[in-house]
Amino acid sequence: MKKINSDTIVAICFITLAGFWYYLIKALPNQQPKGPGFYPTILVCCMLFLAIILLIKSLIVGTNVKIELTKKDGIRVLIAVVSLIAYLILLPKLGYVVATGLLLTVLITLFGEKKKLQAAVVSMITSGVIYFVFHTLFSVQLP
Amino acid sequence: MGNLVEVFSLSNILFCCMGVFVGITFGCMPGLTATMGIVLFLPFTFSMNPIASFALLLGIYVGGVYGGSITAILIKTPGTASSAATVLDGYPLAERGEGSEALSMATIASFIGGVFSCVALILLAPQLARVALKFGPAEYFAVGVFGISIVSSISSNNLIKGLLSALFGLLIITIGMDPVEGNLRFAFGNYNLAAGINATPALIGMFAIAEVLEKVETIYKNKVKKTVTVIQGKMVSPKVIKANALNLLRSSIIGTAIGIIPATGTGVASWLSYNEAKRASKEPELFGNGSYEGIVASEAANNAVTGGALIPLLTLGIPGDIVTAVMMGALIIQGITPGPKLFTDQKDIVTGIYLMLLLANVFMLIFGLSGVRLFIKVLKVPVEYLMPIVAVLCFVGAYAVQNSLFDLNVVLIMGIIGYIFNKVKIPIPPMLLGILLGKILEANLRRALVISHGDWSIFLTRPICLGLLILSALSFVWPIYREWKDKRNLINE
Repeated sequence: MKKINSDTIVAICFITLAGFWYYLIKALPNQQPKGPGFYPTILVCCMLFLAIILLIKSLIVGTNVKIELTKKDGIRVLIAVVSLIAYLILLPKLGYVVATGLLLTVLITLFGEKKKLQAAVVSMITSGVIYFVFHTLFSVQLP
Repeated sequence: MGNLVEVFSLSNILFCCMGVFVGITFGCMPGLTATMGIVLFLPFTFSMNPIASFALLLGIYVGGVYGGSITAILIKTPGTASSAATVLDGYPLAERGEGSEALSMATIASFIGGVFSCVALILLAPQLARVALKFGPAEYFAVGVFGISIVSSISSNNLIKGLLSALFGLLIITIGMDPVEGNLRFAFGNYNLAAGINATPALIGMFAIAEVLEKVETIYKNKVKKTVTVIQGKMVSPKVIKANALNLLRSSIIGTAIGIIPATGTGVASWLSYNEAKRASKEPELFGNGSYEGIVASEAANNAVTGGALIPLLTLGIPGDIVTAVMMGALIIQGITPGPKLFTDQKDIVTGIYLMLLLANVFMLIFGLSGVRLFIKVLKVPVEYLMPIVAVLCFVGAYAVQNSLFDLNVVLIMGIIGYIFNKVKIPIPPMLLGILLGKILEANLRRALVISHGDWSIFLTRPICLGLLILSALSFVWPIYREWKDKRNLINE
């Protein structure tokens, strides 16, 4: 029996997902046999079946997947994700140009640009240009 | 014949030219893809007539698929996934000072592959449309199954995870209204979810944003950016081209065939073709060290996907790959329903599409052979600025599809999922397959069962459907069998 590895966790996640989704199917108002729950049920059963196979395989045969992620790199990714979430929340509140300008500044700095002022200036200009191009040329109404 | 003059109007030609230019630019920048280019320019086409909009989009498509080869050869970084195989032999050639020849070979191979698939499109599409007119729900379901069966050939070594990935894609597409009766499912009272998950923002997220997150993680590794200064303007010798004639033909056929198969695209085509060329080659040891055969195989195949992918799109309304999936959106916006009726009711549009595809390939050849220097300049943009701008452009493009802020959430969530999947080595293309084919599978499965009054044998008694299902079983089993055989051979050696 091999150690618990990433495949094991993946399998467990999918089993959980299948279980959760099955619960959702059972909660549907229309429970007719060939109704809206029919096809999702097939999918969920297949998923459960395969996930169990993956679980067994990961514990018997193991896996050749090695996850290499240092703490520093991981934190950077986390910061990127958090900034993107913040961007989506602030977008309707601050308007496109400002929100995007801020996001770009953060991301450019995250990617390694040391000159913060330059990053900020470029961000604002780019954000403005994008807004102009899409709003005027492509007639897309940005917030 | 008057139609011909209309099709080749100045504005259509200009749009096509611009499309190819934009496409090559997007294609050669790592992190930008043909898909992104199409999505970003999609809003622009709302106000254009159908042929003009296709001139632009096809131009971006053709240029984008080709563009990846430029950076693949010169700086060992494929601009798009479709040119990953080109790196293996293109870069060694560039290191040896034959970069210019390699580039011209890639251009010519791409052109021949593209034109071949265009001819295949012109010849095969009407035939398939005629057959497709006989298609009922059972047959469309079988086509969907066939598309899913491709999972086995793109998940190598990770078949179970690949299948789970596909199921995940299929499952999230069930969110929203069910395709047959309109019952609301899994929407948690959120009216945005009630409309379902749109494929375009989802694929932007899982391919582009996941890529950006990946780059965020790995910035401090691989910092070495080699700038290979080549471009002596030397063309590949005609002898080499002639020697690769069979290779060109085979690769073009592979690319076109992969294009026809729903939802598989240029990435699959180029690798499959590369492997086949290596197996058929008289000098397989050269592969990976600077073999022109490798470049030809990869580039001819990936451009041959373009015409092939249009075949199922136009005849069945089923996208041949990611890009055509987005193009389908463009068609629908114009009020055109893809399917066999297109060939009877709107032949002029179909002809226009054929001709614009051909024109796009011609422009690609021209730009590729003459203007590579210009495209290289684009690479000077530092990654610290490029990646964030890409991320932002992705969001704008996704927003533009439905003017929906909710779609941006889809982009981000799919991006995070894509990033995680990459980390634990769950293949992503199957998830895309699931997303693109989900609605077709369910709608037709249920309709077929309604017609047969619940009798499952309908799928086995209708000949075309049965044939497609057998084909699906074969296409699923074959790669597994091949891999098993290869492993056995390795053990025996």
